[in-house]
Amino acid sequence: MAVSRGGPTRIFFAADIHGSQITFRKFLAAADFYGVDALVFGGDLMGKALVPIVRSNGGYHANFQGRDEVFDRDGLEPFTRAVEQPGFYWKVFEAEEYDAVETDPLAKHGLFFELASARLAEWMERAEERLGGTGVRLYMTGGNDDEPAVLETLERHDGDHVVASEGRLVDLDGEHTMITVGLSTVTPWDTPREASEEEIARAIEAAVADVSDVGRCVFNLHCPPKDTPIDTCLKLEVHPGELPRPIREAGRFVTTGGGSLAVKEAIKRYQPLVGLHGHIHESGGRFRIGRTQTFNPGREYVQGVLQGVIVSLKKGKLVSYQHTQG
Amino acid sequence: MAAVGEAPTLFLRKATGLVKGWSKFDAFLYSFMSVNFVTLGLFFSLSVIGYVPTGQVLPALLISGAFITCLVVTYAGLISIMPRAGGDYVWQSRVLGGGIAFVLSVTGWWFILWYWTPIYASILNVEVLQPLAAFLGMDGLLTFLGKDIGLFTICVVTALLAGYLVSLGMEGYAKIQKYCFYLGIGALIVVFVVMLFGSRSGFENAFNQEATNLFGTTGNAYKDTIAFAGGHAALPAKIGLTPFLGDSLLIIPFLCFWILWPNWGSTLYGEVRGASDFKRVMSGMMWGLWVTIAIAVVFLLLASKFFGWDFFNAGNVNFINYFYAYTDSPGPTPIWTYPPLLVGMFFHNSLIGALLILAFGAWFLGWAGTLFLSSTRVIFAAAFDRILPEKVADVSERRHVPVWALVLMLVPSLVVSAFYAFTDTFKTLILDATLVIAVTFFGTAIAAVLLPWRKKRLYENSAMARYKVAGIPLISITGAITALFLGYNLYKWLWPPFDEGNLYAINNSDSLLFMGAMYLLALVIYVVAKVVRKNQGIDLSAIHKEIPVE
Repeated sequence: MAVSRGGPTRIFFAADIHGSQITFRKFLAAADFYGVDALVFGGDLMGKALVPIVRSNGGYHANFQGRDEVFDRDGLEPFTRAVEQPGFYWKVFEAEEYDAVETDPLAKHGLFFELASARLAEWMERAEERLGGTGVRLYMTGGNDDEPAVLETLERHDGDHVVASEGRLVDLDGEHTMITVGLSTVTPWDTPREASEEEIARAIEAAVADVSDVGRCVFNLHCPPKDTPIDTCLKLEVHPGELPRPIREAGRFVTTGGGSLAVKEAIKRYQPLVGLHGHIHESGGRFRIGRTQTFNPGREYVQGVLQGVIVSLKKGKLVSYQHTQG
Repeated sequence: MAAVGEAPTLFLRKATGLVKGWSKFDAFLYSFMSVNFVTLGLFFSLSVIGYVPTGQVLPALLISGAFITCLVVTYAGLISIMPRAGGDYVWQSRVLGGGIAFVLSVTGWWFILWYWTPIYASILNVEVLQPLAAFLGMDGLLTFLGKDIGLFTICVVTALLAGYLVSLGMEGYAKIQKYCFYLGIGALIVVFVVMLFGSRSGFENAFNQEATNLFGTTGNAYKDTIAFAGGHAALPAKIGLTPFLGDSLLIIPFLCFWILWPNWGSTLYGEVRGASDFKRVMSGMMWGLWVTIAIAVVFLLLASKFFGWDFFNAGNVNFINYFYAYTDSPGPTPIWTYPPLLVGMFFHNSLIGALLILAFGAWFLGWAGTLFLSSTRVIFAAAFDRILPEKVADVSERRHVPVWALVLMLVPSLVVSAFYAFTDTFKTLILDATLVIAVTFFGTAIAAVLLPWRKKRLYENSAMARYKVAGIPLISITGAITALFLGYNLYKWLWPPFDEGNLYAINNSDSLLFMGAMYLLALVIYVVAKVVRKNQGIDLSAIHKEIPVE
């Protein structure tokens, strides 16, 4: 339970930082910077790519952002720092080792697991240290992009400040609660934690079953409500063996709703205090469904910018909110 | 084993957001439709070059293009560094502060767009409705369209049309734009072919004959048009390249009413993948700018060949003088000698002429939605940042239309339109619409110059950090050149005052009052919002502050 200071309970919410080191550090610093009582992370922790760095002729060889990079030992640290900003992982290989991994999907998968788990563990350690003595708790969950095996690192974590919130009813301040569901609907990328609308509906129902007063409950649902301004994304077509491709008409992109009907229905039916969502990066915003204000902070983690939303709760009401770009 | 020199491949996992980037053609289309050759080019810029008889439009066009290229590089750089929807407001707020950004952006992208309603309406009137009424022999309608009440009616129709197009949502409007683009290009090709293969004597005969049929003129309307204009002002003798500088530079501020906008889509770029790819974004805008300039050069050379340079400018000058009430008569023809109308006359067939005008109307329809599209976005963004009331950022559930933002555009637009239609002095303020946006761009150019130092880490982590000239960031150099270019235009627009013979007819006391009131209104809104939100426990300055990395 967060420490309430008599006024409204202030929560800073962000999501979709996808492994970005600098953005996560900003997320931790946000507690003090914005003067909030709790940090809530809405899913998608893991980075999306791994940059292999191959030892070559006494130096290093890599490809990053479409550029061929050759550097010596002194260049390794700045290069890896640049790689980590957009959340990518990196590993130094011998040439033979790289060749073996490059053609082995299982080996690649294992590498991602190893590096992502290590980064998540490092983050939680940093969070415990940074938030120590503040009374601020960090409620974390995985999103659809996060491997269940990596999320076990979060589940196993035993600390005072970092709380794995998915599947648990969180007491935010003695007055307000929070449920968390990190699943998303099916995407063109076939990500690890996708589910059908029925499965998402069941997960929400199961979480709500423990809530005594849903009007004072925050719904932290990774997937935003379907066909709202906070779930609008590019409509994509999938060609086997290629990355999904945006559909264009007369040079314009065609958009669609990437959210969940089950989420929308649950918000309509239960009318929770607030809906906190992520998943759709390009549709940061706010949308009201009945009495419930729903938020998606969007993301700019690639630029090292943390987008978030501060919500202030008091006596079962959302007393104020503010989007931030830090 | 990896061959020497072969770069290791990036390992990707299944994760959302990884898509193929957009094509250069997409960026080109955005840009091309913004520097709209027909609506803005023909009406707003090329119709007034006759006012500088000792200058040449071709060098002015090329010089403008060179400087606007720097604007393109600057905006493409900003997009790649901060690819966020919101454009000028976002960049300025990050570098110059929220207050300056709000004042410059809401005046440039919101308030001044009220003023664009009568501009759009005038274009609809003189490029579509009047020529159509003429070809179809609807004299009563033609007379009505020429009256104040007619113009106001068209303003209402334009505002409702733009509102309707915005209410369709981006996707619905994009479909309309698709058809408009192809139809408009097809019509332009037809006109160019006629102008290329048709003779001037053939045109002169056709104009004399059809002017009699359509408008009841007598005698040689072609020569009378030139003589009428010559009675009021000197006309350019012939098209050419000399002087390349000198008085040709005076045409540049006229051309900026039209070709200053290849970056118009920059408020939307942040919403699409690949926006951080500097070269891709830049080349799209660059092609949009230079293809339009190329079309304009071809058109001007063909106009000189087919219409005759003196006649082309005379028809324009006659119309503009009458439009702004500098003369009591429009000359031999009661409506503007709109080039597609003139080419339509060449066919000696009213139906073909009417169809050509309708096809060219696609350039207007595909562009009309932009009247409210960008402004509703800025209003929405300001509400998102809690500067405007929450209600303003509400959107309809079905089509995500920002209803209240639309109301904030529609109602003032109709009030401004009434002033525009029923008073003569208000019409002279029309060009402020460009001036105020140029001021906003000027603020963005200054932000671009300072960005590498004010937002060092953001800059250094972007692709733009690779581009330097003599160790100076390219974006700072192009930003400075853009600021100088905009500064030149602002100076020419504002000085000397209207009463002392301002060539561009902008700087009169009414316009200064009008502009001052807009900036003051923006400032008042910001200050009030700051106080109100502070009382609600919201610190507006926290929105843009960078969180320290510890």
